[in-house]
Amino acid sequence: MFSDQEIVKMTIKGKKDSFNELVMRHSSKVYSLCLRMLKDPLEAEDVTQETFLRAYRALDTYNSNYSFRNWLLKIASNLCIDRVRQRKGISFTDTDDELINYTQSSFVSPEKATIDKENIEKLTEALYTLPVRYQLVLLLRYLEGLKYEEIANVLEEPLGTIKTQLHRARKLLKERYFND
Amino acid sequence: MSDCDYVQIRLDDYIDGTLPALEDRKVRAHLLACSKCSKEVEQLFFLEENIEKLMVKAPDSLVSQIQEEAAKEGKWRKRRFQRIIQWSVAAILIFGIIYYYPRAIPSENIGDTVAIHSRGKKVIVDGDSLSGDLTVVGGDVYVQGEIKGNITSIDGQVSAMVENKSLWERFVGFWDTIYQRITGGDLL
Repeated sequence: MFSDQEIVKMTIKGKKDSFNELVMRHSSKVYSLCLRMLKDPLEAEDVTQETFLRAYRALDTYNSNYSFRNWLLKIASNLCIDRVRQRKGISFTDTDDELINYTQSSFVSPEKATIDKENIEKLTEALYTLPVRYQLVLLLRYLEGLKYEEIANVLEEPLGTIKTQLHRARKLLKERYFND
Repeated sequence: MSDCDYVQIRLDDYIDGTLPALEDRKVRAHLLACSKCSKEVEQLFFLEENIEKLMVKAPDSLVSQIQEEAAKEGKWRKRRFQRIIQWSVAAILIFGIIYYYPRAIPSENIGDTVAIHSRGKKVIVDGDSLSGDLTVVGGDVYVQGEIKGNITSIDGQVSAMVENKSLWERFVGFWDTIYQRITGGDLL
């Protein structure tokens, strides 16, 4: 099995369809981040596609010392932040049910879904009340499983800033989730 | 500092599992004894686990769509690469023609004696008659006309037309000159 970096090289050399493998490998990670940030499945699909196409166009500039997944997440994060800024002030609560159904139908078994549904609904609501930056660090840390250093690279912030943001984000989320 | 404070400032590292062994043991011991701190840790673990559950699979239709769009981009990328090559070759040819094409002496310079700083370009005396001497510095001299005086070339070569060359011979000669400039050897 080829590494991401090897596939990138093949794609740059013009090997047909090699980029498809990268899309298969990383589309769910990118899509999940976009969906949780944007709270709109259609917009999340749009941004996911944009992320991959931007990456494809800029493959020549990709630094292979850097994780390809993190590079994609960096592009996706920036696009999501732009989208959120563009629509600031607009209420997103009308798509909550759709979002939760998405989660249930994707990975969770029907029995567990009933138990988890309330938790996930409450959690997504609490998450969306946080500042965008806090949402992003929490999602990168726990949804995508990135280390602190990787989050710092993706968001182009000092490591100390990321630690502080994550600490505050966790605390705030806990308050919003358990005190509401 | 109370035990609770000691745990609170280490809570993030404890949750992340990055605490040194000794501190980790101390925190664990405190959590067994303190319901307030243990509840907080429990809540944080709960949130962490539930955020992980927010991962969803990208729709198959989206994956296919991205792959199709990338394939289209790939064709465009290939065409763009071909265009870059074509334009590069054209630019090199134009540059070569401008830079290496023999420079004719302006007619007003045709007098008794002429001295020219050619700056690497070939100087051609084309069909004119020069009654005096011709001195060229830093370039080759190609004589197609008549020079009655002496020809001096400093840092260059002197050649003269013996007979009319065909268009093909001129073409080959032109590229031979370029080849010599680049490699120092003869093309033919």
